[in-house]
Amino acid sequence: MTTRTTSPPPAPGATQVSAPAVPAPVVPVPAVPAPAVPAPAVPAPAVEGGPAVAGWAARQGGGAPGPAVRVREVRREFAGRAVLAGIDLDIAPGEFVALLGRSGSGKSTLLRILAGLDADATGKATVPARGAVVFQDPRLLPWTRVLDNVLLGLKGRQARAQAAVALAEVGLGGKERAWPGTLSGGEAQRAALARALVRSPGLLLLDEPFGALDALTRIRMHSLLRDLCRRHQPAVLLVTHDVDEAILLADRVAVLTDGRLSLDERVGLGGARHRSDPGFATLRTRLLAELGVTDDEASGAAGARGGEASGTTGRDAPVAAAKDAAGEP
Amino acid sequence: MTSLLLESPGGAGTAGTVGATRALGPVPETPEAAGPGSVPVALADPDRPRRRPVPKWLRRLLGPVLLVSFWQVGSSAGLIQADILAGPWTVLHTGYTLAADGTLGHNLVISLRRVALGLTIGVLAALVLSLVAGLFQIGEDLVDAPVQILRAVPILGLVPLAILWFGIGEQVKIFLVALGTAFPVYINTFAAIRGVDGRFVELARTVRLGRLGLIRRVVLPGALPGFLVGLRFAFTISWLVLVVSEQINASSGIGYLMDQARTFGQTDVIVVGLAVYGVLGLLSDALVRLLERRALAWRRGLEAS
Repeated sequence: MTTRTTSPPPAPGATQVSAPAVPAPVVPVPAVPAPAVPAPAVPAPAVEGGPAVAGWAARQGGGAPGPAVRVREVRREFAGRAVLAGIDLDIAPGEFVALLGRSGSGKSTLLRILAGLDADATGKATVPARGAVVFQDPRLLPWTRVLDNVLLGLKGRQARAQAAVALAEVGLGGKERAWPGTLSGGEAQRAALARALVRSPGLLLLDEPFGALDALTRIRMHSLLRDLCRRHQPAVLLVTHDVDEAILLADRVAVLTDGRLSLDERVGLGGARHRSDPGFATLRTRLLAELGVTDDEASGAAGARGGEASGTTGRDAPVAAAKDAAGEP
Repeated sequence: MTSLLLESPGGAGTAGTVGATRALGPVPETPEAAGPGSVPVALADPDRPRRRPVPKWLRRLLGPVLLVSFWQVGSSAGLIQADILAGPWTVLHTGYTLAADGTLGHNLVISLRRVALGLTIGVLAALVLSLVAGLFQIGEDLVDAPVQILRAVPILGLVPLAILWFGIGEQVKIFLVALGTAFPVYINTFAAIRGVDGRFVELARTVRLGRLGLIRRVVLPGALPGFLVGLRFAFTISWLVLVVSEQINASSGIGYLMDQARTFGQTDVIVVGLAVYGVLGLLSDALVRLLERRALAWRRGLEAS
């Protein structure tokens, strides 16, 4: 239903926000996407239908480039347990934020709230009018050809051409008429990425998008995603449990612990990042510690001691330290 | 196995010993052959001549051909009386005669027409009802419970009532076929609509497909396989219902032909009727499978163009 207005501006940190001097609409979170959001070129606050207002139906207005995403005191309980116990988070336009957390920490819950898929959360959140989600599974409709999957929800000849461009951009040129079932895991996820990009999203929500891919494909996808984000400049929220992935890709890393953001800091490593960078290792250690993984466990040198010490905390660690240690004679 | 043994320094690997060890299972443990406790892995011998396998369709044909042969031999030898079951040759001959004088064709057209009309009405009605029940909560409340209750009634038990309503003309047969075919289509389509993957519904929300778009792009194509399963059941049931209703009250149709033959003890005509029903059942099943192949091309994972 929306069409890409212009190619995104090349300058980093600036989305096509020319905001009117109107106070930002504050949207109660119980959020269902409004049925038809016109996504205007000059984003006007589109508040429709009273309290049940779209997650990204409301565009952050305000002065100079205000935050693209503004989350205040968002809470979500499941069966009396507060999975999110008051989250505050701002994401600037064009900023790439990685959200880390252990399994069940609620990081996906926060993403789903911002995607407008969780109507039972409370608090306040504003998001850009145009949003796009990439899930862990590609979610391509199996009965629809790849190009039409990318186009899903869009209309018009122009959108069709743009979808073909987006497919070429993710390296799937020539696969327009393929059935999703014929794609490999990595190809399918790239198609899902194209489906998100063709919407020129002001906010790109990535829910462990590479979690189901093999290690080599994941490396390729990381570099593809970095290129795409550089070119399209959406605000990005990447939910992941992979610390390395977070450091490699994000401008900022946040850690969700016990329903709150226990850590939120910039990744000051510059553009080209490498695992051998000492700064990388330092940040990695700190983030792992925040996630409850000890240094010994992380380095795989823990021995029997590590196994005892890890107890409950080490279970979700990306490095299976205990297993490595047990293998030693 | 050969390579394993041939590479071993002990040289236990001539073709002869390979064959022998395969038969024996574990190799006698010689320290030269491999480490202690090692066991050869059974691998194919590339030198072994391979026989061309008999094609599967040929093997599948063997049983039926034998059965018909026994039947023919039994009939010819007088072991199977003609008034119990006519021999295959007699049946073929009778079939040819009936086809030649137009009796078979005439009644076949009548039967086909009844099935076609009944199926069309039944499937369309079921489709509408399942969409109403599947897509709207109020529809489910109104439609589903009555349908589930009616489903428990055996269709053929309705024959007396149907005769009272419609007499013994064409309507009663078409009505019974329509009713019989509606249930499987309704049940499978309704279940398929409700079974559409919730993740796709979520996706539809994130790309802001409207309600109509959701139904058109996600729900209907997602429910299509279920509908086709129902359709296949419907075809089978349509013939079943037709056979019974034509044999109870009719003055034309394949079932009538068979019932007439019963009164005159013509087992050959009865077998011809059975064979025609069988062929019709096969053909209609093939039709649905063709439909499935066309409609569910995405399932084959082929890049059809």
